[in-house]
Amino acid sequence: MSNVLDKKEKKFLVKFMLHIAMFLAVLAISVVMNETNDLSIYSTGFLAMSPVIPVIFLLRLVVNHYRSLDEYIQRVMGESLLWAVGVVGCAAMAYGLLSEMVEVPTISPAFMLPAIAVIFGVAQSIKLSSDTHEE
Amino acid sequence: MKNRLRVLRAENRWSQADLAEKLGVSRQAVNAIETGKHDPSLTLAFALAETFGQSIEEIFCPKEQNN
Repeated sequence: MSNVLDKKEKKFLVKFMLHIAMFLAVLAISVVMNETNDLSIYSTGFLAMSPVIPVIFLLRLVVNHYRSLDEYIQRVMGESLLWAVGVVGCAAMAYGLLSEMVEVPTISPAFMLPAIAVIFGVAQSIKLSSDTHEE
Repeated sequence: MKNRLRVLRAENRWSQADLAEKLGVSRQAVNAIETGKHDPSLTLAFALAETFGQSIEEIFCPKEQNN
């Protein structure tokens, strides 16, 4: 089963990387097309938001992968996601409140999902680190 | 919840990975159940009982009863 899990994990990682590559490609195309062409406001808007499409497919991939995992890993992932959403949400709220009182640089909301993904990964690895060694 | 998983696994000379393979779960899941960090679902508890040829009550018991 561990070999099966490894194969499944590798297949998931390959698909994950392909989705990331697709996202970067769409992002690059949208930026280049917006900068090199004089497009209408609707086309510009569509192109600006188009990188979200591969991200939606990526989300579907991650959810399907989540469903295939065992109950313990699902629990760890769920708790990690709660931490990630909570930390990013609190940070965004704190920054928002701060910006009401003090002049601070504007941070694009486009960084929220990557921030959640990074904190999710860190939280998951912390939670699973204690299970790495067989007792 | 307390359990006798480590003892039963040692009796069978199985590693956590061996048991995980038999149950179709990750090694981390077996580790978490053994150390009491995770209480298994009924489905997994039945699978464990079947794997060791014992009843669920013989493998798991509430902490209070163990003292």
